[in-house]
Amino acid sequence: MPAYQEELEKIANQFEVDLKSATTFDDLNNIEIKYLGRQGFINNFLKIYPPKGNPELGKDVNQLKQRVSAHLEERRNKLSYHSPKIDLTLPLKDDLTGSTHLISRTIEEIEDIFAKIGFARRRYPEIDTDWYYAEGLNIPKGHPARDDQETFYLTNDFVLTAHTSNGQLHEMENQKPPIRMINIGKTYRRQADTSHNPMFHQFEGLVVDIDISIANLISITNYFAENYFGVGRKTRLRPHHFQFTEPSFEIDISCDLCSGTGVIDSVPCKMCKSGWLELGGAGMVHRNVLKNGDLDPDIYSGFAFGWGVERVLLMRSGLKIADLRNLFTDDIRFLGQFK
Amino acid sequence: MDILITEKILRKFLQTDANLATITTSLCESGPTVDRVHKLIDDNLLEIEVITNRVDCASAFGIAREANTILNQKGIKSQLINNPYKTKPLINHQTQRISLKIDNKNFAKRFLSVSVDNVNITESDQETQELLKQVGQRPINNLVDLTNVATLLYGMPSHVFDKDKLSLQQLTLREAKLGESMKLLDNTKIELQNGDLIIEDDNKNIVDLCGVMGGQFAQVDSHTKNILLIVPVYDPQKIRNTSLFHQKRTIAAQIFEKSPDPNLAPSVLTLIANKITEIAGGHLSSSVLDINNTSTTQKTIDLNLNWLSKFIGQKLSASETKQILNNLDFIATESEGGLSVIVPEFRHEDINNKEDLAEEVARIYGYHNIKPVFPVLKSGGVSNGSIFNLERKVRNILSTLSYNEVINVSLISQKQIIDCDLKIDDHLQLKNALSEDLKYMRISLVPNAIQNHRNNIGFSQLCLSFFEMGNIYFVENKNQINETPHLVLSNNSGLLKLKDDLNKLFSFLNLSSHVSLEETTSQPAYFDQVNTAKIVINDIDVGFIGEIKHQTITNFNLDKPVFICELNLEQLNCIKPKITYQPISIYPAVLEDINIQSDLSLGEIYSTIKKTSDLIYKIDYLNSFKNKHTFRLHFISQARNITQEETATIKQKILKSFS
Repeated sequence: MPAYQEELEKIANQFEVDLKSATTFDDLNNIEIKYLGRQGFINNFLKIYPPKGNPELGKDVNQLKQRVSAHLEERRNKLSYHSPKIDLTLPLKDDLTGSTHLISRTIEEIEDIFAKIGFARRRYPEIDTDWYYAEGLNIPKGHPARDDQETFYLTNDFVLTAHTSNGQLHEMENQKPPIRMINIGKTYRRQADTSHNPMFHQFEGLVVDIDISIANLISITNYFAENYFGVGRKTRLRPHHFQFTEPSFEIDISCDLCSGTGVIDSVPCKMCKSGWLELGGAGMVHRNVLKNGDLDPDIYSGFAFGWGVERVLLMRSGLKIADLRNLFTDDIRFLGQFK
Repeated sequence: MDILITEKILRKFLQTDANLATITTSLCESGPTVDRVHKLIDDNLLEIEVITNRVDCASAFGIAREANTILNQKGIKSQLINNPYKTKPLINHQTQRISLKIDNKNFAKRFLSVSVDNVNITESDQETQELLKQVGQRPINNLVDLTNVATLLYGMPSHVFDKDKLSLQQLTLREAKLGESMKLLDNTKIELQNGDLIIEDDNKNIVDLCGVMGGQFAQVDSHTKNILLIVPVYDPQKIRNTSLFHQKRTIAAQIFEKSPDPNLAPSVLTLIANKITEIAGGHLSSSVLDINNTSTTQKTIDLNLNWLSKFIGQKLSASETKQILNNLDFIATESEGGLSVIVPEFRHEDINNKEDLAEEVARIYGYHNIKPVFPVLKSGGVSNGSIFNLERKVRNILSTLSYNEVINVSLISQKQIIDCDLKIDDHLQLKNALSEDLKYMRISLVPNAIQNHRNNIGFSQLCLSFFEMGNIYFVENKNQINETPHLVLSNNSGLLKLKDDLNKLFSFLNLSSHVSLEETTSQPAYFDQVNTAKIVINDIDVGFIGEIKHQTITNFNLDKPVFICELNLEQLNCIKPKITYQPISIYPAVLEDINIQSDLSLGEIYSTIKKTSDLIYKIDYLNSFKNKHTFRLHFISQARNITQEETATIKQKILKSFS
């Protein structure tokens, strides 16, 4: 190997070392001067080994020069690299996804609340026979509870169920006690106004076991009220009458707007009746219904409740939907609001 | 049944220092609900919801009786006064008798009547007129108003006839026959139906539509001198039928159809007769007719206190229970293990078993005083299959993929059925539909889905995508109606986009490798003949994907195509993909493109390629030009590196199968 090559190699190695320790632009500038400057290593080398008449040497020196330049350039790029600026300040959009329906989400919530306490979710027929819908629920033919004019009929024996209580007897057939059922389904009534749609949804709770009491029913309604509506919401029972429960109750829930006082700034609350909102019916399962479900009413007792999904959905504060029928619109401008 | 009473007439029976707010709150907690209180000038009007089986509460006296018991239980001093049951019977020495024949003794449990002669018909005094107006009734004259006020006070309807317009030899209470008619007090003429109860006089004049409304024939007017007063208690079911049929839902009918206490009738007759002579002069001119067909035997129910405590969920002492029942006019005496309870006659209809007694005790004790007890946590079984989980998953996936969930009413119109080329006869039809729009139970979610696109025309959004999950309904056989959960997804942005989304859905459900889309001719009528495929999973047909045919699109007044995929969720739910771990090869994949010329469908070409070698683990479709198609093959082996020669051989083999 000619002597000049040894010298060049030294310079190249030294460059590697210097480059490695460089961390700033200044360092790189200094290195550039040190190697490529007028008094730099390479010019000094050429003073000692003039290239004239030695093309090999010229080539080697050029190669080293290029190498040094390239390395410096690369390091400079690394230090100075910036992606082009991206402006992230435009507001987020909310139409990038589709939406789930308010009613479906409410149903899922109800299912989850009751699942935590061992209630199995069910879905029983929307079209059912007179037995499950009325006769078996202690509503004999000719009884006033039948001529409500609200039921849709398909045939003499088949109706579109106006309540989810038809699930009670189905459940007693399918599941021996302990029964803890939450039956959520579509129900139908011949009604259409701001608080009624011909089709709506109900959730029916049924608990049948040994020694089930009114106190148990109260605790479950409180549990639901606090879990669905929020901590601090209370319920109360008012006497009522249904054929398939005895005793029967109307369940009220304390009004959120007036905190259950019935008064806001000494004006009666517009939302509720004296501090209470009607949630729906409930009661202790009638002994005749237990019998019809092939259960001995002197061994088993139970409670049941049937409440409206849309009702609890609209009762929850903040939503501000005045007309229940809005929930059944297919208007994309409505649906898209609820993810 | 809702009733209106004023605070004044309530306090006529209730002596207490409690203010109205205390009274109404107490009633709501333990008795009938006071829905609203309207302020009047010097009184308050109470709107009360009387529980349907508690007709004994449908009056000022009835509400006062409840309030009295409830207030006393709360320790608020209160007393029931002017109790009509304590009225002394009517003493009279008239010998003239009223003769009434009742065709069937089941028609009336009790029927009382007396006549008063020489009365003065005038306007009622101001107070009475005011009261009637406050509760929404029209004052007529002093005697008619008197009967109406008596109904308000005691909950026992009565009626006065002009005696001189009647041929009184013999009155008959009988069932009407089809073809008979009568004119009612409200000036309407009605055609009577078989079974309507009527009173007819000796000259075959129909003078009363029993329990519903009096007839015009013997109406009391300003010339009336002598009157006949009746206080009846009719067969509840017959009154209900008549009242509903003729659409005359009078207060009298609403009370009679709920069986008021027959024992109250004599008192009410006395109270009204006495009041007549007091305000209108005159004198009793007949002996009291009292037909009593009641045969009620005393009801006694045993109440086991141990059971009671368990049923209510709160221990109640014998003495406390006994006191509550006695305050409600039951007669409870201690017996072995509990109480023996005699039901008062005015509760004869609604108290039938121990649960009824438990209600009485619990509500008066106060539901708000019962300490909530959480039931023992037990499992109610497993939720039906996993359909709810599947639905939830599908809902989350599709909404993330820009689909909007809709809930359509399950009823559709004849027009929608015809527009979709479906058969009317395949649909269950409502017998009493509310409107033509909602008349048939849907057998597919598709008509609604197309409608959803139609309804959203012009709402600025160009791309529409919806999904719905709901039942479809069809008759299996005469006694069996089948309800099956289905899923429909639809868009107007393209069939391949829809397929792509379906693919993502199946992918999330771990099903995509099991699904094949196959050409079909068995699609429902609304689908296009060419651009539709059936969806098959493990050899089970689960649905269709395709374009809605042009005719249907036109029928729905749409101008853009709609693409729809419908799936049977129940069947989908039956397919449980097995997820097992696939070892990851340590050898790199080899990618090779291949051009194939073939007239087969892409699906067929794909499966032919796939079948060629186990080393092909993935095939991407790249593009086509006419019948020339490019695919990218991914070769991979678990055991070794794949060589150029190997892939070349496989590619040769593939090309050969298409030549």
